[in-house]
Amino acid sequence: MRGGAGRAGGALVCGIVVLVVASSAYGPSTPSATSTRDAVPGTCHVAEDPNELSAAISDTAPAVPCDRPHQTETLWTGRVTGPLDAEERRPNPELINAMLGRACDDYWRVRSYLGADAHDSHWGVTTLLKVPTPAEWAEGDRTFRCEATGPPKGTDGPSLTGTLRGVLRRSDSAAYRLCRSGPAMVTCDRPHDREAMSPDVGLDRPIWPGDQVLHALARPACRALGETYIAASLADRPDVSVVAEVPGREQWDSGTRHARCWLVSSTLSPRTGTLRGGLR
Amino acid sequence: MTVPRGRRAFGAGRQFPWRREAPAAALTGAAWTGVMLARLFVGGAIGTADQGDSRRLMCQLGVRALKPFTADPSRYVYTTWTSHQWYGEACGADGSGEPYYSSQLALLRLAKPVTRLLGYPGALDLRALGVICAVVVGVVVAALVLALPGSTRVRVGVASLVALAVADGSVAQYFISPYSEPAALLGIVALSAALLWLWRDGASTWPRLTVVAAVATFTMLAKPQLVALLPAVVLALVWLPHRPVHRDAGGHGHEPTTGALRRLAAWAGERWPALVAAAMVAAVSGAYLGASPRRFSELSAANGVFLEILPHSDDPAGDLRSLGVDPSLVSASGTHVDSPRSALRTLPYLEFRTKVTQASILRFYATHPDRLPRLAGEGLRGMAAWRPHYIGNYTPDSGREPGARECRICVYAAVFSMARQQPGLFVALWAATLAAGIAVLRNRRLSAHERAVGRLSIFLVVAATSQFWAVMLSEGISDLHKHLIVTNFLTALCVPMLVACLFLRPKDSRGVVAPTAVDDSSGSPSLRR
Repeated sequence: MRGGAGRAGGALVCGIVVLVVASSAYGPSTPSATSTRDAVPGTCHVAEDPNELSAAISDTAPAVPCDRPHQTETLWTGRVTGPLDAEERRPNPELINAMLGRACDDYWRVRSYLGADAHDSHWGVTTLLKVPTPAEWAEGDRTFRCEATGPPKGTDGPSLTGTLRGVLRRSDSAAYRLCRSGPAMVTCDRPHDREAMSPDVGLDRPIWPGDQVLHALARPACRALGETYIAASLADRPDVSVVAEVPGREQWDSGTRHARCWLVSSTLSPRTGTLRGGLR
Repeated sequence: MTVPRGRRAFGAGRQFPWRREAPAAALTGAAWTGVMLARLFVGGAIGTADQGDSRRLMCQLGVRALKPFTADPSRYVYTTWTSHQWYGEACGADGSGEPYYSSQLALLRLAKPVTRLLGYPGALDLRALGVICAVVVGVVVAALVLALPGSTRVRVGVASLVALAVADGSVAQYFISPYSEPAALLGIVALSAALLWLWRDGASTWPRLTVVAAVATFTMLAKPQLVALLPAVVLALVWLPHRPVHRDAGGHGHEPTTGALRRLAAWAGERWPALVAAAMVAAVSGAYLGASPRRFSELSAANGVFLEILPHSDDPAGDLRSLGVDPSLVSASGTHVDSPRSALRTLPYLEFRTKVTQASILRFYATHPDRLPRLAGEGLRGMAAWRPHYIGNYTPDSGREPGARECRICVYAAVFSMARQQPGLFVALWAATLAAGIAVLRNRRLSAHERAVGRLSIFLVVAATSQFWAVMLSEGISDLHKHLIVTNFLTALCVPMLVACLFLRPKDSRGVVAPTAVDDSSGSPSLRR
C-alpha cells in the first residue's frame, strides 16, 4: 500500500510539474475591441506599430476621435463578393490582397472624400485594405474597409490629426498636396520649391513643335490655372510665379502630350505650406 | 543497512553526492556566466535582429519594438520594447492571428522585472533577457559539472566545451533577441544535465524522471519544430528500469521470464513510471503541436513544395498531381510565399492549402525516396553556413553598418565552416559520436555513471538527426540557416560528448561496479588524469 501510494504520488507530482511547465508556454489572448462589420466611414484608428498598419490584414482596434493623433481613417466600406465570398474559412492574406487590393485603389473616390476639385493635386495619401478577422469571416461577415493613411514623417510613421474628409478644402491641407523639392515629390508641408496644380494642360500638336512653341502654348493656360488656384490675380501676387513644365523630345516621342503647371516663389527660395486660395 | 529516504533519492549511502564537486561546479558556472556577459555586452550589446518573427511572440507581453517607423528591423537589434495594447489579429501568427505559444514566454516574463531592476529603458529590454540567459548558462554549466562522471578536471573540461558551443556566434546572439530560440538552446543544455542525472545510478527514480520530463517539456514547447525531439526524449526516459526511492539499491531480484509477451510485460513493468512520464510529455507535446498556428503548417507546406520539391523535379506537374492539386500551380515553382508569382496569390491555392499538409509531404517523400539524398545534401551544406547572412547583430548606436554581423567567439562556427566543401563531415561526426556512445554503453566495465555519457551521446545524435529531418521535410531550404540553428547546436554538442567518450576507460582490477550501484566519482580512477 505504501508502494502504491508512492507510485501514485510520484505520477501525480510528475503530472503537475509537467503541466505547470507546459502552462508557461501559453500567453494571454488579445481580443478585438470592435468588429469589422461596425466600421463607419470617417472613423479614425491608431496603428503605432508598422505591423498593425500594413502587415495585419484586419484591424479591430477601437476608433479614436479624429482630433487625436492617429494613423488611418476609414474612407469607405464594401462587401467581398466573387469566389472569395464562398470560402467558409478566410482566404490567406496574399490571395485577398491579390484579388481585392485594387478595391481601395479608387483614385476618384479618394479625391471625392478628400474634397478635391479639378485644380487640386493630392499626394501622400495611401489606401489600405482591411478585411474581417478569421473568426468574423467564419460567422459570415464579408465587410471590407478602405483605410487612408498619410506619408511617413521622416523616420516616424504617418500621423494624421483631424479628419481627411474634405481636407483639401481646409487651410490645413498642405500635408496632402503635391509639391516638389528638386527632383523629389513631397507634400507641401515640407520645404519645397514648387506646388502642383491640376489638371495638366493639353498640347494639341501633331508633330514635335519645339520647346519654345510648347512653352508658348502652355504658359497662358498655366497662368489662368494659377489665378484660379490661388483665387487671386497673379498681378496682385508678385511673390508667386507660374512655371509650365513641358515634355522634352523623348517624352513627346513616347506619347506625352501635356504640360504640368507649377506655382513657384518668385524669389525661387524654398517655402512650406500651400498657396491654394479659397480655403476655410 | 537501511538508508534514510532523503538520501536514497540521490543514491544509497550518500547524503549529498556532489559535495566534492560543488565548488568546482559553482566556479565553472560563475566563470561562464561572466564569459557570456562579456561576450554579449563588452564592446556594445550584440544580439539577433528581427526578420519578422518577433511580433507573434512579443505582442503577448503587451510590448512593441521601439524603433523608427520606417527602419528595417532586420538590420539592427532594437533592444527596447515599449508598452503597447494589441488588438485581435495584430497579435498572433502573421496572416491568421492565431495564437503562438512558446516556453520562451517564461524567460521574457522574467525579463520585464529584470529590465526595471537593471535600469534599462522601456517595458522590456532584450538586454535584460541577455543577462537572464547568461545566468541560466552558468547554472546549467554548473549542473553539467555536477552531473558528469569523472575527475573534476574532466568534468570542468567537458562542461566548458559545451559552454563554448553556447557562447559561439549565432547561438549566444539569440540571447538578446525577440525569438523563441533561447528557450530551446538553454533547454537542450539543461536537458543534457538532467539526463546524466537520470541515468547516473543505472535506474530511474520519480524525482529524476520528473525533472527530465519538466525540462524536456520546457525545451520542446519553445517552438513547434522542437517537438521532433520527442522520440529521443521518450527513449531517454524509458531507457533504464525504475528504482523506487524507498527501495534499497542492490537489485530487485525479479523472476526470469520466458516468451516475448512476458518479456515485454516485464520490461514495461520495470519501467512503468518512465512510461507514464513519457506519456505525459507526449500528451502535452501533442497538445502544443495541435495548438500551433495552422497558418505556419500551410506556409511550410507551400515552401516545401514550391521551393524544394518542384524546382528539383523532372516532372513538377506530375508531382503536383500526386499531391492531389492543380498542376497549373507549376508556374509558381521556385517562388517564395512573398513572391509576386507566388501560388498563394492564386485561387487554386485554396485547394492546395486544404489538401497539401505536412503529412502529405511526408507521404510524398516516402513514395519518392530518391529525392532524399539531394535534400539531405542541401541541409548539410546549410549546416556548414552555421547562421543566416541577412540578419544584423549590432544595435543602431553601435556605429556599425546596417546588417553587420559579429564574431566575438566563433570557434564552432569556424570549425563547421570547414565542412562547406565536405558536408559529409557532419554525418561522420554523428556516426563517430553514435559509435563512441554505443561503445561506452556496452562497456560493462564502466560504471553506470560513466555509461550515462554514452547514453547522452546517443541521445544527442538521435535528437540532431530528428531535428535535421524535421526542418528539411517541412520547409526545406526556406530560411534554412535560421531553421537549422537547433540542429547545428545539437551537432556541436556531439563534440564534447565525443571527447568525454574518448576519455572514458574501463575500471581497474579493484572491481566492477554493479549497474544499479551509485557511482562514487571519488573512486573513479578511470577518468582521473
